[in-house]
Amino acid sequence: MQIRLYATLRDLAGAARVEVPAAPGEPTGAVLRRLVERCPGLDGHVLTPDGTALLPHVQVFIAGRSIRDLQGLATPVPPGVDIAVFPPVAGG
Amino acid sequence: MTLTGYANRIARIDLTTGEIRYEAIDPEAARKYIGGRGLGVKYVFDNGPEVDPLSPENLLCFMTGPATGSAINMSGRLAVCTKSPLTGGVTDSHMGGWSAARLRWSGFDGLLFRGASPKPVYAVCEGGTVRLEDASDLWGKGVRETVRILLERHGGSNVSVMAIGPAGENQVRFACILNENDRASGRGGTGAVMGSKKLKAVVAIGDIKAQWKPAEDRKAAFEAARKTSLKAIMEGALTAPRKGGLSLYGTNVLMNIINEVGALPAFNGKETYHPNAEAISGEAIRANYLAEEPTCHACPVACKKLVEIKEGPYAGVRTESFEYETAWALGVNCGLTDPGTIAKLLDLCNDLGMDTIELGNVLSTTMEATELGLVADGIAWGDAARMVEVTEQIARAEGTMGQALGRGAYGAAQWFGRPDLANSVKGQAIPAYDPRGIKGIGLGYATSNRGACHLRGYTVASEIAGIPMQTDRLSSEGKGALLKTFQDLHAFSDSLDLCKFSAFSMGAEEYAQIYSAVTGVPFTAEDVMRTGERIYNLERYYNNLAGLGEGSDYLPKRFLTDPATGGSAGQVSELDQMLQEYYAVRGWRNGVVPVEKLRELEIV
Repeated sequence: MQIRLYATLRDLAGAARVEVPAAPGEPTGAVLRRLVERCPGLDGHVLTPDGTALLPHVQVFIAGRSIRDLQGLATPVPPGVDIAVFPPVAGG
Repeated sequence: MTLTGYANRIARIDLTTGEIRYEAIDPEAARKYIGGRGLGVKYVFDNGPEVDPLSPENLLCFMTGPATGSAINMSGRLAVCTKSPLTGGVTDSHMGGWSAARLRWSGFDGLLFRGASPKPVYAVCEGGTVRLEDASDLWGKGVRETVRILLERHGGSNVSVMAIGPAGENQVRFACILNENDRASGRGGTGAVMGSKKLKAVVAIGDIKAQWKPAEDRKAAFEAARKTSLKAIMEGALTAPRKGGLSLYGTNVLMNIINEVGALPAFNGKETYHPNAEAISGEAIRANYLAEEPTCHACPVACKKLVEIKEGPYAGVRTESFEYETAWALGVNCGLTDPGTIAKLLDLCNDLGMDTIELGNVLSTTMEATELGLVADGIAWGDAARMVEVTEQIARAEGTMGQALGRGAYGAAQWFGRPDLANSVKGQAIPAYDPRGIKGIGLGYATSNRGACHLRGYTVASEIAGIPMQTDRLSSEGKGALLKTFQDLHAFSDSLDLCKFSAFSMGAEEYAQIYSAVTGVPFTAEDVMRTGERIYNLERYYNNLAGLGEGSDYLPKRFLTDPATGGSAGQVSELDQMLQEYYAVRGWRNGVVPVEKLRELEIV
């Protein structure tokens, strides 16, 4: 599946889009851990060091919904969708 | 009586007679309303809520807060308070840069202008005095030339100029005031009020040597507060200089995330997602157009982004700041994703003196009316050349259409015979978050005391960024209480007057520490929230007395009935449910402040 990265994560990963293998229904956390393995520059910028939680204010969206409002890292990844990952952002 | 932390000097300038009087701040008013927005609103309130906004009787206040110009971080904000010609209610609009600090260093907490001059004038503030100078030679000039002339005339690096352009002179109802850094008191039509008074500019001459410093016995407390604010900013995930998203990309770091969740109003709100928004995002601007990253007094964040366009019909345009709101309003909201055109329109607004948010809504409303066949010689979606042409017509009040559109998006929609086409509340148009995709901010638009606005209660921090805690953006439950907290907190920080972005790394505890360190008044986080609540209720009371009573808190029908698209597909605002909860936590009766609440908060 394709993972879209934004803001500072692009420079850290060296890409705006990263293709990561994922099985339908797999937990988002497993996909994100695979993302960090593929892009080591993201280590320490998306997940906590033990890989069990999102860092504060990092947002991961599936079909526009934050996984924080769903089942967190346990949220199953539906088939045929992208994941969008944002570092802490705000403005006004 | 000494008021620690203040200059304790207010100038009252009668522009009709030329008389200038000086007075101290009423200590009780300072205790209750702090400064900046709070104290400015109090002066506007005392002037009476029934005045015509564009009459000589209206009061126009340039206010600083007790922290302004000090070494406290993010303390470079200036509040312009008046009765708005756009909404008919009270408004406060804040500009950054160095104007606030220089006004304070010139010896004033605030300037209160009343009356109207028989000929164009500008005011010069220096060394605790104000004088009026002839501005006949400046009338008709753009902001840029006015600023250049006045900086040359008054010399030195200690001068700040706050000026209006032709839009203010022509009393375009969303005209704004800008300074030498292109920072604007953007919303609410403060520039139109200034123009109605024939006041072309305010020149503040003040050296940093006049910066307020604490007495010996307060130095430790002040330094601790300064370090608190600095540490919060430097370590804040969003604000950290050169690392945080706000610092690197400016406010426009929001473009992609708001589009991702389907809360980006596009084509005048007919859609809530635009497939090409990325082209005008903070990421794209930083990669392709960024020229400089200026900042304001006492701010290491440097969120302002100055852009330079190198190709296309607007090559050579160099302007700041390419904000999220501007990029949205003049961009996807108008069906346009060309950074060059947005920069050109922004540059025009900066020179002509107009609010980019309201202008974008005026243009998008006109585009929808054009699509519906309601206007001859209108504007097609994304027609860059026509947008530029109409923008200039509006500022110069040229022709029937230029004058009609100068009344704002709501006034324009009325002229088209379809007031429902305007995405406005109380006469002021919405900013860049769709109420269908971020429920709390919709309630915020409805209940804002200055018309649709994101800065009265920025629930987006919680609903999108998770600050201070994550709330579900699509849930309406609990949003009344959440919004009240944000509104009260911001009302206090706007009165100190700290930048709104301080709320991304500070809260009531830090604000209390700063206020206490500057003024010497013991203060708690609870005091911060109660004071903010008092200020918010004073504004509401003013609006109630000005005729904005029951039924004044609403959202345009589109947000209640037409489903969102993209990441918020199918969603509408559940405003009624949120309003009931909000009124309950506020203790209001259908938007009206009862007298018992006024007494409880010591307003009456």
